[in-house]
Amino acid sequence: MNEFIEWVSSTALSNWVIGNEWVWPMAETFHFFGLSLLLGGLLLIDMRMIGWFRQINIAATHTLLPFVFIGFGINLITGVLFYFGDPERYTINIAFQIKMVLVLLAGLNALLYYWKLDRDMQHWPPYGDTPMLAKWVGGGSLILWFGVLIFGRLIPYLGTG
Amino acid sequence: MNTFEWLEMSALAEWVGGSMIGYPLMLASHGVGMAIVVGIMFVLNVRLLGGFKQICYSSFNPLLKLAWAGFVLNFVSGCLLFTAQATVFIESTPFLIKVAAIFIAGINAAFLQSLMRQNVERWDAGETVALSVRWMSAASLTLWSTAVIAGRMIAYLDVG
Repeated sequence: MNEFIEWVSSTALSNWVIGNEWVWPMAETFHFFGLSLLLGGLLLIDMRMIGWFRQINIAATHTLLPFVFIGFGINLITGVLFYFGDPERYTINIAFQIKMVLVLLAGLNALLYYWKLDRDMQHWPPYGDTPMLAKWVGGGSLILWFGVLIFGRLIPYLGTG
Repeated sequence: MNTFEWLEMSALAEWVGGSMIGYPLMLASHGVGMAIVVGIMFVLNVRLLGGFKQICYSSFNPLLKLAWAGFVLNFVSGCLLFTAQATVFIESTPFLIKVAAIFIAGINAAFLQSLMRQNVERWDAGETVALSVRWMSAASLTLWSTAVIAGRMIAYLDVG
């Protein structure tokens, strides 16, 4: 692990983040913007999958996915910048570690959505109840992503060595 | 001692700023509320500007109630965060910009909501969304973005 941290610290990207004081606040701003896109889109998709807001055609929630992916992309890029700007502090931080585990679980949950639900959705009643698996995947997604947000916010306060 | 110094010395401010749990709990709540308000407003505004055509306008009426719940969560957590460093925040330019942006964005959202209540059925039936409503949506996107950006800048500008 130490070798990895040393490698990260030696990269040009790391030097760029550390060497330009505007990068960090700029990346943080984009990270918040990205999380609003990600969670805004997911709120509609997941709450409909749970079976709420039945005014929304279940198959139409699919069209919100690009919004979610743009948010995720922004946050992946800015997140990498944070990590490269301060690898030692993040690696040992318990809130960061929990956040990364939650992101991973949310990713697996998204795969379940993609493989088991996304294509079948056209055949569900458009304004009706949803299958049990959809409720679990939707509810799980909301819990995991809000967990990601909360543990991200707690990084400066929880277990930094 | 002025009002802000008094506020900062209050037991409430002491709890928010001095306890192990106060500040992180309020910051986390403020993040959750932001995701709900700004997230829903972004989706709604993009919809009113012509995106996500398959999501019907009427579905946003219940969603706006959820957005207001997020707004209340952020108003409360925001006020509590303010007490902890009242004298610093009140002199911070980005903080004042943020509060002004949210104030206008909130009024704008209330007007948008009332226009939606009156018009969603006609819009869902195919009637064009009025240009004024689309301008309000563009303003909403700008104002909420300003609030997010200025809020993030509080930690970096003006705080000595």
